[in-house]
Amino acid sequence: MFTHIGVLFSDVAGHSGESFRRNLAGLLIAAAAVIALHWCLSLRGRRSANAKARWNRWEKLVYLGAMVSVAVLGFTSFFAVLRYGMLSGWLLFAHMFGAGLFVGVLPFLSVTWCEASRFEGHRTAARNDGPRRFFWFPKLMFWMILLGGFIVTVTMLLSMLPLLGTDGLIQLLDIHRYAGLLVVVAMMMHGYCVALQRVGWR
Amino acid sequence: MAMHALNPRCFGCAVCVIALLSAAVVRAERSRFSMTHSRSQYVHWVTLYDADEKTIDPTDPNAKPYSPVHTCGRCHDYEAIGRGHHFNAIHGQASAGRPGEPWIWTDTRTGTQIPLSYRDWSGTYRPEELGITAWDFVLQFGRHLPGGGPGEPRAAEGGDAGESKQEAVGDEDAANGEAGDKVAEEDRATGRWNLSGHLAVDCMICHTNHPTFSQEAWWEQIQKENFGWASTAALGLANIDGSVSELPDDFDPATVEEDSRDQLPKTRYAPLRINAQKKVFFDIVRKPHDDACYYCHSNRFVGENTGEEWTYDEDVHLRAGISCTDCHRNGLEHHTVRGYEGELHPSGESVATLSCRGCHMDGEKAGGRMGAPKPLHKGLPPIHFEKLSCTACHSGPRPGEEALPLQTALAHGLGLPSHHYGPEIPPGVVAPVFTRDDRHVLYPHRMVWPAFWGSMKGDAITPLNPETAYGALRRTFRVRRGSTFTETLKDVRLSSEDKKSILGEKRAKVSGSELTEEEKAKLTVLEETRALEAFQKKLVEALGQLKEVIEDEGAEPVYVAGGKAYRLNSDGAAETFENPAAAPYAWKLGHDVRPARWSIGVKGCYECHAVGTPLFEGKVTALGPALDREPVTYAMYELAGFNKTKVDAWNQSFQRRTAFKWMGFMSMGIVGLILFSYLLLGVSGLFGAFRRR
Repeated sequence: MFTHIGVLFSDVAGHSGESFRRNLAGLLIAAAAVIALHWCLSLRGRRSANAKARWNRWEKLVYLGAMVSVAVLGFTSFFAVLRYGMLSGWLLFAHMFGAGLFVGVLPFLSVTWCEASRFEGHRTAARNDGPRRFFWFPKLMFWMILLGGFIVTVTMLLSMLPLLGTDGLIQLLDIHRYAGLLVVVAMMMHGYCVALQRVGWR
Repeated sequence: MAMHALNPRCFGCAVCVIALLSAAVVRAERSRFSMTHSRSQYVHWVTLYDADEKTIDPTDPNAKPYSPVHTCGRCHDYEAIGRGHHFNAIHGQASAGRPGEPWIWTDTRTGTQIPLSYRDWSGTYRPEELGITAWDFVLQFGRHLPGGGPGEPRAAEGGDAGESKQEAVGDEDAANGEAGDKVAEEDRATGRWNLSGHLAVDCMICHTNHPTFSQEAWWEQIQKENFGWASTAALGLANIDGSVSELPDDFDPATVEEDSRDQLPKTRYAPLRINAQKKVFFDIVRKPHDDACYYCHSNRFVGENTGEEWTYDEDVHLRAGISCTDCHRNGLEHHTVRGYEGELHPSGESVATLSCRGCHMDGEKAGGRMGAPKPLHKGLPPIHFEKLSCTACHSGPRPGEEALPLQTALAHGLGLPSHHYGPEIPPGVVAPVFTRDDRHVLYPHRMVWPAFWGSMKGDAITPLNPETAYGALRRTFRVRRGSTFTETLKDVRLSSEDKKSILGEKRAKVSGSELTEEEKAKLTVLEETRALEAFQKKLVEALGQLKEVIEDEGAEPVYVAGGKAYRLNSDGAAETFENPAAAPYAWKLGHDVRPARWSIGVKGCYECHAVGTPLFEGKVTALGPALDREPVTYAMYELAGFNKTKVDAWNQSFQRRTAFKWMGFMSMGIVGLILFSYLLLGVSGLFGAFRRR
């Protein structure tokens, strides 16, 4: 796929593509559908009796910053690609600012939530000092956000350096697109799971 | 009734006859035009033929000039060649293609510079709309015409100037009521073709390898109305004595007295060019030399902010050993490839690999033609290839504070010796001007502002025929021979009262050479003011004069120049107003291509993406013959249709790009460390779990 796109310069007009553009809408709709379906099913499920883990201000702030930045990045890019076939103009401008926020927030997100998102097969008494923050699924989503965010940022930073030629830059752009999509979907899922936990449904 | 069976012998004879006839037809079709199908050059010792297809005896004192149609055309399909790109503009069937350089009708006596084209390019005028016949066109532009096209007016063609002019004249006559004069003029022009002969496509303009081919001789003959003699003179085959321009309109060689026939031009062939068999050697090359192309496709920058001509480099492709025709090639039909993206070749062949992108990049076909290197464009985001053409970064002069005035071969007659190639000679053309096409791709252009006297009805302005305008305005402007409209307007003499008011009574009596620079500058400013006042006055007078010439009901006279339109207001004074007819005409430039290290952006993003960069903020000032204290001036972003706020926001955001990169890598360093460390923890946890099990 990458080679095919790399040699077809006409695809540059849509920033590669029709394949991403085709997949984007479907994946977003699929993610939204999964969330909606799970929510419907949860309505019939029993409420969790577990105590809720309380978030401090800093954690809320960081999480909010991450959500906002991902929302801005996702909206600007996906809307532009779906509507115009490429990201340019004011939308690109807004995307850049969202990127700045995301790049600033991501390390704080990782430091703040990495421990709480750690997978533990065996909880010791010493560790059992409060209600769990997240169950396994949001933990997974967190690491996907982190990994995807790392990839999406590094690909864009590398493309700002005079290292790669046009073919390489197009490939980086492809990776950036799909990594970005992963981050947005993972963030949607994580946010949904957090909301479930906040209302006591999980 | 008994049916007689066909006699087998008769049947066989019939078959043989049919076969022989077919073979003869096929053989005749094959042999009509000679081909060698070899890459080596064919040596052309040719018999000359005249316009009547008769053999020319070059030793005959009454020999006629050779005709390319019947000399070259004996072996090469002249009809097909005549439909080629350089000759077919006047033919109604030819595709317009991408707008290119127009023919600019310049009349220095009236301040006229009108972009003309037979190709229906938006922003240009068809010559016949202005009452310019093919005859007029050849006399004006023949210096850089290769022959054919308007030089061979054909009544049968849809685009024929003569016939369509008759229709246009008819319409114009109805409007202007000058039926008799105009038709008589057209008849005069048509009749003179019989004397001058046609200006046929001269193959040798491009295909000669002989250093004696002279464009100057070509033009000299055209100026004398010796169209049929131009090819012979240009090739240096013969000396031409006499001039058709001195013959009266009613001169008919068939009816005049014998001694009067001597008035027709005489052709004296040079004996050294003829061999014993009375054949002439035509030193021909299949691929024209670059010099042939340069004659029509040269340009030079003029004015204060340009360097000397020797400081400019040739196109990088020529330096690399590629010739013009390696890219701008054609087959026998002479549909020369122009080399722009998306070009549709009339032959149906794909010419994508002969554009910049097609050759250097991989598109619908693999690039690398003729060993073209593939540029890496390291670090250049691919969006630039959507927003910019290749030429935006690689061709023409680098954008500067202001677009530079330019002279071109077609517009200014470069290539012919002249003492008058100063920077002020019209028409005013500037480059580079960066604008976007209808696909919103940025291209560098050359630009000219039309200037003409015309009539306006409603909002539509129509230029007047330049000669008509001259006839009406010559007494108003009184432009002397050797001077121009603008020079005449600027030629003001300050009165002694004026000098006294500026310099004081004592200094006003001092001679010019003794004045200080400051005093001279003050006088210059006053001269400019007086000149502007005089222009306004003459403008009012001229527009008033034109009212008598324009008889279209409800139409008013106007003058268009320098991006503005002028008309008389209700008070009888001249006022300016905006009108699309005053808009400039721009055509994309492709050359000269600069080396990669001289391309725009090679030094980094900030070359373009910074506040005040020439690509966005460079100035383009309208050039025109009218005097204007405040000429129309654009910023590049205005002409390109960019939103200023967006451009500024974008360019300012680049100020923080470096800081963003540093911050980004540091942030990702932290995130990477966390990912890596938790990965290790996870892996060790997994191993631990396996061990416990």
